Amino acid sequence: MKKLKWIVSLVFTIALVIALNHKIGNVPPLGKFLDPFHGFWQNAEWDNFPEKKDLSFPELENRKVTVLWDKRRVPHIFAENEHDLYFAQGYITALDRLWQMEFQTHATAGRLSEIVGARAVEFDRNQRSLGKMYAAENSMKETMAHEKTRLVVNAYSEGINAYIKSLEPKNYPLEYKLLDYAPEAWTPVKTSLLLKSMAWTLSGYNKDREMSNIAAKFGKEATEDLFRDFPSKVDPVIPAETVWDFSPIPISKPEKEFQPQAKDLFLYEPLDPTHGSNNWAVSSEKSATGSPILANDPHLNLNLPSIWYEIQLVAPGVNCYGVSIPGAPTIIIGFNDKIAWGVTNSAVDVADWYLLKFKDQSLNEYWHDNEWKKTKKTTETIKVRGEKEFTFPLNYSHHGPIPFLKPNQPVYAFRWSAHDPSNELLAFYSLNRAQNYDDYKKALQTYASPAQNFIFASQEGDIALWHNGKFPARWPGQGKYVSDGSSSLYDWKWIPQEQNPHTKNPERGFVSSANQHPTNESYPYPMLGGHFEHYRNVRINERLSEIEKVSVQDMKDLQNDNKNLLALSLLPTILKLLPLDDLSKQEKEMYETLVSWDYYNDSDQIGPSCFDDWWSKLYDAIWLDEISDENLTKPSSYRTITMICSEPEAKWFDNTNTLPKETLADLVLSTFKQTYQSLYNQYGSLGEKWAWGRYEGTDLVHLARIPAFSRLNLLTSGGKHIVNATRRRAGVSWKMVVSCGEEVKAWGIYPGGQSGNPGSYHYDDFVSTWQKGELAELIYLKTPEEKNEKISYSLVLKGKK
Amino acid sequence: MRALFILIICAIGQPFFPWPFMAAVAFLAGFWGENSAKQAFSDGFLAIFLLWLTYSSYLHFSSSGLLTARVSVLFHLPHPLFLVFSTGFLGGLVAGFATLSGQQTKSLLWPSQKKTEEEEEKS
Repeated sequence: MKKLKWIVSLVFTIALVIALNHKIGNVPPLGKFLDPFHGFWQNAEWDNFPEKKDLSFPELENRKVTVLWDKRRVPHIFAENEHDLYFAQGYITALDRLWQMEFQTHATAGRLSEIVGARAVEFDRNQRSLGKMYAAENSMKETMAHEKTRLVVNAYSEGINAYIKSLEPKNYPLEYKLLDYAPEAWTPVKTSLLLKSMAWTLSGYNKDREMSNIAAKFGKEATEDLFRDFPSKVDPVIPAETVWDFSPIPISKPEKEFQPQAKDLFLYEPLDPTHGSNNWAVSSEKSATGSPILANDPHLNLNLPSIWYEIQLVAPGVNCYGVSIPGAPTIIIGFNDKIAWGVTNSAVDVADWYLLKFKDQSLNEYWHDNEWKKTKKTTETIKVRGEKEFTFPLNYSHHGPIPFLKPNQPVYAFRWSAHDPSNELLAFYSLNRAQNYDDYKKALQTYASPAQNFIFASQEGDIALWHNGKFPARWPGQGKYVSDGSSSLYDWKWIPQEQNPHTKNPERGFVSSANQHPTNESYPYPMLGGHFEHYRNVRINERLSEIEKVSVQDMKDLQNDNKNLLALSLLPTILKLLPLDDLSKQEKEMYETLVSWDYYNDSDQIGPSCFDDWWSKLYDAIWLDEISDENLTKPSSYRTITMICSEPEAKWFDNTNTLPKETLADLVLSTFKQTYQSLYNQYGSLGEKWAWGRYEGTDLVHLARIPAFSRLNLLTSGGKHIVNATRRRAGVSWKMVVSCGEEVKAWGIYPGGQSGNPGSYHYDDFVSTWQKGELAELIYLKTPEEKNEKISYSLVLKGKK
Repeated sequence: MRALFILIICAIGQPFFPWPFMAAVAFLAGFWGENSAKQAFSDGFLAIFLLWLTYSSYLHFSSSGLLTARVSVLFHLPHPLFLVFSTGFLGGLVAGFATLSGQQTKSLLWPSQKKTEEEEEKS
């Protein structure tokens, strides 16, 4: 009996300790996690600054690096040489964002299964099949081949590793404790992975497979009509009057175009094609300050911690402020005392799928230009937490990786501009130091992917915009559908970089971009793209033309502009089609709301909710009968609206699933009634509860999708195709306005905070300012000795000397 | 007395060792003196309950409860103080069982003492 009692108590105690020391399902190891000496409690730090005011690092080459933090926790780093500068950037960024940068690189490299187990295997396989690691390695080789970028990326890695080495398990960022794992050493290729992750977000969008299926289903003519390369009216990035003074490279087109039916093409994570951005700059003449002013706001998925990290980097030869990507050295969007620059996404198609013909099931040889060519064979191994590792073959053709497929399916290769070797870091390194237009122009030469509209303004008074990156020089129509992998006529040639569309000091006194068509049809190369913007750009150009002298406040106001041009182009037409007699009293009330709406998507307005809901129902009612299969794609909003307004008799309005022939007016009425019903069901009688900010609003979601660390249901204004492009899960991820005068002045904000620690006050302290549409004044320091009342903390990193 | 001993040793040693250290201390403390299983459990429980509760309360209040608020949402707790309490309770539970195991081990190794104890209990 005694023995039994002893065994029971001992076994129970040991089992309890073991159980509380292990992660079970989604539950963290509770003993470890709740232990106040090492667990999450240790992350409960109000401001999370290093405890010691000076730290020594044998890695530093010079005497010291001074880091000053301002009240918004933006670090201002002063170093005595470049190595020490980027070492400190790595160290300080890791101090705030280590978990985020490592988690994102694991995700891009297809290594999430190592952290979360078998449920991520499929995700990891997709990441690897798309060649993201392959892309990162190719770029890193190029980066390492250049003396400057090798130094930068190595010093940055050293800095991150110095921080990781300084950590004991009790100091690990909170998410490591929750998911129960430890940080590993940082390597330069991880920096490359982060840039590729951004490249995927911005340039991975592709509908080749779906377009081929559409053409097979509706015929080429109908497809070309629904998916037009150039709509009748475009307001391009590069002003229409620009003259192209170069001779384009010759491109040969196949005699007969390849028309496959691509039913079984590898499915990859769907991308939100409405990631976009705005930027614009006004010339000295058009500026109320007498010097150029530049504005930029990239729209991305809104997460916590934020994708951006604000920083100032100062060393001999450079003094630059802006936002960086945690995990990548240099500043991506920012300014120095002479110039400012920003980016918006190009939206040009730089990803193609090639159908391959193989000799046999072994996939050893594929047919290309009348000969059998050998594939390169590799094996991918995915380590899975708590389970056996998973391996699969990944083959490459000269186009790119051939994603893993089930047997007996057509086999495709994936070609993506980001697969090619390139050195984007060199471009950012040079931009950070650029003093004038020529420096900027030179800096852009090594930039390949993701292609961007690089906007520029300088103290000297120049404004400019280069639609820049590496673009395939296509023949008309190439890459719109699945490509023929057996013909070199489908292989890519490149547009020479100096022939990329650009403009400098145009007559209208401003440059701007918002992901619309880069040029009009006169540009010698076809610029294919499936999701060009048609509204934000028009609104921006309209406002900039209207305002005679643009002030800094005008720039900020335009960033917050909520005018809904899409609604303005559609709503009057469909309201006219509504037979009022057929509406109930409540529906009439909704009708009145829409009639009196001023077309601004302000958070407290009801009109935008009614319109948005109605429009999405009408859009679905038009297309879902013909195009519901996920292997197909629907025409754009813009195309659909043109059809509604100018082709009211189009056959697409008829619901093919029913016998009677529906007209546009029938759809307008039925969807109007459905809209009322669904809003009523969701929010009750028409009133405040229907407000746009509640209907749409914004969620800032923690990267590991942990609701407790997210900020949900923020009341926000704006929306899709609106200059203030904030929506539920994506939107304005950084806002910046820079006045390039004698003394540079700048303002900025992003939805988040500098610290990645959910326990820190600085985890989300920018959110309320961002939500109000306000920008914070950015503190641009010249020397570390400069007195500024907003500097709240300092730290010295000491070297050996 | 024994509870105080566990509390002090753990307060000094815990920062340097992983959390099962406190279970080891509590287990050894089970060898201390001659008392009942109930007493052993409550000494272990009380010591670590108090230690973890006090330290986590300190961390909670000194950080204005920012993180505690978020983590309590994560665990679906109605108030951050439940998290402080749960921390103490969980630590206490482990330590209580560890001290009990220690006491049981001792009574098995030295049954004579155990006998005396049982006799005492009877009387």
